[in-house]
Amino acid sequence: MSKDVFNLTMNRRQFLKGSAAAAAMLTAAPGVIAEGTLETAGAEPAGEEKLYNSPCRSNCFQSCTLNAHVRDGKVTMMTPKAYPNGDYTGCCLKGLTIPQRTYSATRIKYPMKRAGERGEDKWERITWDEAIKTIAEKFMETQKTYGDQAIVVDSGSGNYGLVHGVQGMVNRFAYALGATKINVCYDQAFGYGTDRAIGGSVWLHGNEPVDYYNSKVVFIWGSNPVHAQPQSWRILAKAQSMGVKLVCIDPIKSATASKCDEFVPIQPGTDLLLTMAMMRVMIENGWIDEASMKARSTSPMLVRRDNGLYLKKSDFTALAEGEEEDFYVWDADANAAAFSSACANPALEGVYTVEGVECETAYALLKARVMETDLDYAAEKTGIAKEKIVELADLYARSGATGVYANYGIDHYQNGHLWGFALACMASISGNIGRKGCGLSGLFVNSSITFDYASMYVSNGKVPNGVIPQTAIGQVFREQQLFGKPYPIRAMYTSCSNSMSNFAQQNQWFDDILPNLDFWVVADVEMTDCCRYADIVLPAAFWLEVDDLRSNYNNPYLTYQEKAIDPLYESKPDGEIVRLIAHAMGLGEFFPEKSDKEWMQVLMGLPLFGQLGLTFDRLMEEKILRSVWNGDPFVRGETAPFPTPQGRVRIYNENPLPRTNWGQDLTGLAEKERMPYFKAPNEAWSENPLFEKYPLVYIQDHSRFRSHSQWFNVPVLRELDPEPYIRMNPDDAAARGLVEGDIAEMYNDRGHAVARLRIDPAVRPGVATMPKGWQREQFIAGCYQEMTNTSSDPMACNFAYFDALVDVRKYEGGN
Amino acid sequence: MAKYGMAIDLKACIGCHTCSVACKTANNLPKDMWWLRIKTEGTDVMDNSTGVYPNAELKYMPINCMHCDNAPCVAACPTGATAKREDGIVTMNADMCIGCGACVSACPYEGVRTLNTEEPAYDVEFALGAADAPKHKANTVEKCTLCANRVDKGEKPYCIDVCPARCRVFGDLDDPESEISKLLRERQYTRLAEDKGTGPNIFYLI
Ligand code: SF4
Ligand code: SF4
Repeated sequence: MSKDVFNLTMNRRQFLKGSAAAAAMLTAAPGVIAEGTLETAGAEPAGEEKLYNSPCRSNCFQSCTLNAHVRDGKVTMMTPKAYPNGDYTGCCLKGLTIPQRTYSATRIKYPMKRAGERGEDKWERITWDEAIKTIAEKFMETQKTYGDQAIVVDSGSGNYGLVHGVQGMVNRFAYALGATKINVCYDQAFGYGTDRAIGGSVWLHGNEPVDYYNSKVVFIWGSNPVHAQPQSWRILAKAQSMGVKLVCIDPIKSATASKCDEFVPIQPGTDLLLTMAMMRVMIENGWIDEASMKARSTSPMLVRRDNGLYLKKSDFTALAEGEEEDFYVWDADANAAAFSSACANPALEGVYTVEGVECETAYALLKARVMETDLDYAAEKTGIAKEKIVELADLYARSGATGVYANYGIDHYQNGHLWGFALACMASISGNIGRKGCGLSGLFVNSSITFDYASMYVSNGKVPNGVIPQTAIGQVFREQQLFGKPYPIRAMYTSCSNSMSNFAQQNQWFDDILPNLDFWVVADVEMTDCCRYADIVLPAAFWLEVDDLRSNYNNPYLTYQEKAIDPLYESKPDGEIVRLIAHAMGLGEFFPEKSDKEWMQVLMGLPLFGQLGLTFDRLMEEKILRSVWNGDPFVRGETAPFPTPQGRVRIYNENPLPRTNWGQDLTGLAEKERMPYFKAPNEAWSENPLFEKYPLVYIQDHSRFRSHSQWFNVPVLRELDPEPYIRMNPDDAAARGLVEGDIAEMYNDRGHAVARLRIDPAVRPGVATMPKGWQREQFIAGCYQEMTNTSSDPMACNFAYFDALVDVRKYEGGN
Repeated sequence: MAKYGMAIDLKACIGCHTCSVACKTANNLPKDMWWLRIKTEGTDVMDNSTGVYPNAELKYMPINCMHCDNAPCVAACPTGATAKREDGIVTMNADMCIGCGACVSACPYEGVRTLNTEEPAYDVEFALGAADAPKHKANTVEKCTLCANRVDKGEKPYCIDVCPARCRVFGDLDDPESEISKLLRERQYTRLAEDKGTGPNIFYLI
């Protein structure tokens, strides 16, 4: 091996903008404090090390618990802490840089008010007293002039602490104000779609990761866990070493695809079509599991032809009080109508008349819908040969136990929810759901316990208006109307959120939001895009500086953040900041001065916690508690019945509702969406005339150096990954006369981003990628989020980030 | 006497850099100093694949000091600043190093030894990492110590337990019952630049 190839850091550094690179390399060490002069803030004897239990609270869909090593009152390093089930123990490079994030030189240290134009980054330091007084006055004035709804509370996934994070005190603030609380549109379509079939709302579709050991095959679909969810990947890799076959379906030959047993390249946005086609193959070949369909799905239930609803007991007889609803099926043995609860052998197909009402089985309806899928068309559009589709259907249906690992790649097209629905239907007809090794995974959210959010949030009887989706907030700002009536929104409070960077179509901030936003307060730890355009910036305490509670993702634990150090500089915990503002607004009685630990006790106050022995005292003692008590591993539909009215997989949904209703046009959709069907992507589609002008589908990479925009500014990570890139296939680059390292511009009618070009054969021809999370100031011009689109599926109300067409050219200058 | 080495399972390595960052933080490495680098095979661009879509391939290879049996750096060092311990660890003594760079030239593995040309600079205003992390001085050469400070206390190097893919194994090559010895019996492995006669003690399981 030649010598030069090893010097990776040097090679990457050449990617830096010229002057910045030189500066970075020449900086001496002005800030180094000689040993012995460090102030000692800790209680421990000098030099001694104490470990604090610290769950990482980044929204990476992993939940590592780390030990924060504190010496002389300073966090000096992080190490992974063991979970009771060691397969879940882990960490990644980001978690290890928590000390660097905590003590970052660019950390927001004190309250500031804007001293220049928005975005000019000129600030004046102010006191907390002045900040709180100004915010309270402005908020009260806004309420008085425009009404309670005129204050918008915006909170995102920047912190998963239950007291100080997205589910925390900021909600009590939104409730007490009766504010507009923006309805989150990140990653909502997939779960909204699976909910159509298996219930559980948007998040509760995934099984516990260690269930992969029970699979025969796992399809890793539109997701790259190797880089995005390395803790889940470890479990998948162990399953692979135990003989589980891993199949990756993705437009990109990703790091995950490279590790899987098989890679199936697919045209972006056509996964739904592939799934419909696979279902057709299964049905045509009889690769369906009739026993499972009869026992665990609504397949045999009768659907009325007159109104499309399930035929129910209550259609003919009033239910007695407390009596459960029952559903009609056709008893194949008795050749007569029967109740589902009392029929061992219902017919799966057929048209039957019950008490004069003509009905058809749900499965017959789904089958007819599925058979509309043309296999040749599917092969052409997905780019997967018909024989391969048959092979995939066979592998999926007849391997014994097939699971699907899916996070939010496919969710990012406007047909994402229909894919979730179709996938659950496919799992159901092939018997691959509701038992071990099967079903869906990728994001396992613990539903075994629920916290007493009501006691935490509700105070003075007011409720926030939560119907406006993030996808539509720009429009509501622009029009100052909702449901055709005036709906002024004029001020905003943002915490645990970098919405300006993470909402699609970034230029709507400049066009629609900022011009109508009179006053914007942002609490954060670093100067995000949001902070740079805010009027007041508040220093939030970081994760190790508070006591908090986390209910983990993708493992079965409840974890305690043991406060390791005091809030640095003038920072304050997020919960404390909203308490101070509320007090200054005269809402003090609703914001009692409770410690973090007291709020944790409120959250854990429901009787189930006591019954399960999940007590606060035990948490203080053990710091990590297994809180999934029903099922080990937890498998949806097996551990407990599916949370649907029938307790079964609802392959036909009689009443699909939009995820949120803010007055959008829903004409005809409820009927159409009772079953999955192929809906083409909105923009990223070969039949779209815009395709001529913008022939590349834009996919945002989930980099392992950030989760969303978090960690964007950690110097040690920036040494490895110094700047954004645009990535494309060698053929597409050549066709545009572009070479490796060129400064290139990705653009469409909505905006552009200028960055170095990386030519990578892993990228499918016809696709261009850029990693998400970089801030505007880190680009040569534009930003990764300018080209995306707020246009949304009206039912799913979700950011369809990847449903966007772009082109790439050599950069010729300009902003 | 033990003889320490490391095995890295390249089939399992996901190139995540968690080991590199653990090394960097725990040893309080200055800015732009890396003792453990992750090379993307076949390219100079991190994370780029080789080959042609859809058959492109992505592979990683972590590189750090190989703690060679016949360490050419030790032979080249005029002051004895770099030396070989009885347990196989190749050490660096910053107080004895004169920064001549002879070891850097002698080492056949690029990116393993790095000369601090400037006064070391840091991101944080106090020393991160372990209390007994090595010192860093201008005009000295640095490299992986196999966390000798930890090994001396019976612990493993930092990079081992942090690896989310569990592909790094440290242990005594002289003990036939050690995990590493067993792995080397069971699995195929390769070592870098074996033809140069350095006798490297980092084993890559393939
Ligand atoms: S960022 Fe995610 S994977 Fe990394 S340490 Fe934190 S929770 Fe674990
Ligand atoms: S931590 Fe493990 S998987 Fe990650 S780069 Fe290092 S050796 Fe490879």
